[in-house]
Amino acid sequence: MNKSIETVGQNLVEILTEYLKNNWADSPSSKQTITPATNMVTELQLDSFQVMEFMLEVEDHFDIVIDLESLSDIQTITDLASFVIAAQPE
Amino acid sequence: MSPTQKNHKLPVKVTGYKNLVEVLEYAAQGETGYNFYDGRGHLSTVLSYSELRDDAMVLAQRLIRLGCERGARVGIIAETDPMFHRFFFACQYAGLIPVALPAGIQLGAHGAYVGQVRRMLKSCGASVVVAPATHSKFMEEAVQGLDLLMAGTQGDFDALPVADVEFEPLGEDEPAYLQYTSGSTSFPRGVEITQKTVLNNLMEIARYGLKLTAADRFVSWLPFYHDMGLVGFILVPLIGQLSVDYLGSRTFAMRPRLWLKLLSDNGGTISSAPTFGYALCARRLRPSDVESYDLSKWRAACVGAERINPEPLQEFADILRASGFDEKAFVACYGMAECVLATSFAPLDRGLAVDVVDRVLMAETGEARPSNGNTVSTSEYVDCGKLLPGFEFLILDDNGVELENRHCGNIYLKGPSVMRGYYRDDKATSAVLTDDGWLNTGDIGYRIDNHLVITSRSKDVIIIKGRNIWPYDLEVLAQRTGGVKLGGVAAFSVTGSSLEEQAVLVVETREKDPASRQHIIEEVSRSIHAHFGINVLIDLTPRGTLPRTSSGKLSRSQSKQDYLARKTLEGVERSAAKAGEKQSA
Repeated sequence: MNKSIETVGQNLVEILTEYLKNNWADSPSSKQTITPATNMVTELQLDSFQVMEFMLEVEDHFDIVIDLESLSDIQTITDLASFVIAAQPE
Repeated sequence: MSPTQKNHKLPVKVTGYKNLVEVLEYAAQGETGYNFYDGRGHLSTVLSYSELRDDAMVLAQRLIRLGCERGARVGIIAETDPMFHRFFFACQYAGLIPVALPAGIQLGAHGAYVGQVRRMLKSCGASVVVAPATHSKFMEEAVQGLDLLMAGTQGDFDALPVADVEFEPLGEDEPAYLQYTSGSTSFPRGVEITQKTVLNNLMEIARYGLKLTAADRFVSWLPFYHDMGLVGFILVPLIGQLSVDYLGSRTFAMRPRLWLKLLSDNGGTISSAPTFGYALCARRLRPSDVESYDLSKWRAACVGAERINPEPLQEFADILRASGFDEKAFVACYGMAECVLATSFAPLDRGLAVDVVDRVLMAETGEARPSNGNTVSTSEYVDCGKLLPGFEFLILDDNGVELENRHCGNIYLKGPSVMRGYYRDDKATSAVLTDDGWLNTGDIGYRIDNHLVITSRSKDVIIIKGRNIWPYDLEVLAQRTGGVKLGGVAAFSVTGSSLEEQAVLVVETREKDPASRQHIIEEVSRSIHAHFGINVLIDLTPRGTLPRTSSGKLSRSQSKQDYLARKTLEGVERSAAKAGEKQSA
């Protein structure tokens, strides 16, 4: 399965938007419009438990295992998209 | 592979030890030990106490051969991994001091994490550092330029030659470990706990707090760089010769239901969490899960580490009643790393006892008077029980005068479980420990006879989701932002709408331009989020308006009061304005 970074980025935007809407409807981060360029750290300010729950959804959606240490270098949705593509089996 | 079970012959023995080596040697005669479960909840490693003893002794010989001097510090990145136990006990045999280092890495926080580990290593003057393979990249960056004997993974150390010397394990008055109490970026404080001190608290927890028997089994997802994880779920089970089942902290965060599944599958009897852990779990439960669990053996569900909020705990109990969970299993605890772990336990088999008091009277006079039919507004606080027998406590007002029953004040503790001090930091030590051994906990509470009720944890430390954050560190970060004056920031926490702690920064600025003001707010919150992974509320105030003491020191508690008053006033004005709009319409 060979997906472009744009497609994966768009998938991630949808997963995150849905996750925030379903779980944190009252929080300011759920009201922001998320794009592939959105910085999850500085703009959305997700807390560590939200990050983990979101990663779980990402793992389930793409059927991958995320090595959590790599998250330390991920800031934007596009960063995460490149990571997801690299983690997918050939 | 199957997990360790219970001891059939070895009697429970919680006293009569001189050091942790003796505790391990005794437990190693039985059948129990530590069991590690992976991210999907499958058993991945079994480390019995006897295997741990054997592994630790070999590793100790390697560390001695490497050239570690007695008392040298060994930094261990404390991932939930058997490596931690092996190195921790190898240090005990070899006469070295283990130091648990944080392992949790936040999104986008690569640089902040490396910096934090590096400062801790420098603060304790570590000679050796070990990390799990997952963290070796960060470790290598953190140790650059430091004068170390070795930094590596378990595999690197296993390749070292073995010495053949008689062990001289750490003695009664030597340290058992150092523990950093916060994610403090500027000034890491390493709590120094001696063997005698840790053994005392372990015995008291086992005998009086939890009343351990050979039928008990522990389950935990708490990190080992936190006192509840390290002491509560490595050392307490060890001194009771009991088995433990571990889930990684991040596994819990992703799949909290695995915690309950493990308790159910293995018949766990003791497991602890801060309030937020129970709340997170309850939020993620599905009705079908509830029917599949059997939590009837869970007899001590300890709650501590941050202010205990009874409401989400009650929800947790309500949802899981169908799984056989008994709300009487909740045990409110109070403690801190400076006292090893625990200082008080609520009575077992009672559940939470909530003290409902008059909120207005409490705010005005500090008196916690039980509410009655005429009380307008109430506050609820959880009774944290009697102190463990070795402790004495005092509740003092700000002038050091002892307060009577049901009056809030500063909690002071004394006893054989109190730390020696912060490692190599006399200044920080003398700020909290008096010459005659009283520890100023920084926590506020009141007594009901010999029971202790905590009303706010650490008037200075901000506790968010179980993490301790020193306001000073937030203030320093904020001051690095353009437009913010040195000394013009006050950090504290307030209780948010869902009764969770919320960090607040009041920042002085001369800036009038709305865009520049917004820029300051964004920059400060971005920087704090990057370093601590928390969200802060930022309130800008004109220069020179933060309250100071007569000696010119910033008063955080007064800043907090002013802030709350300002917010209340704004709320009143807003509703008045709205009412006005309606009238004119």
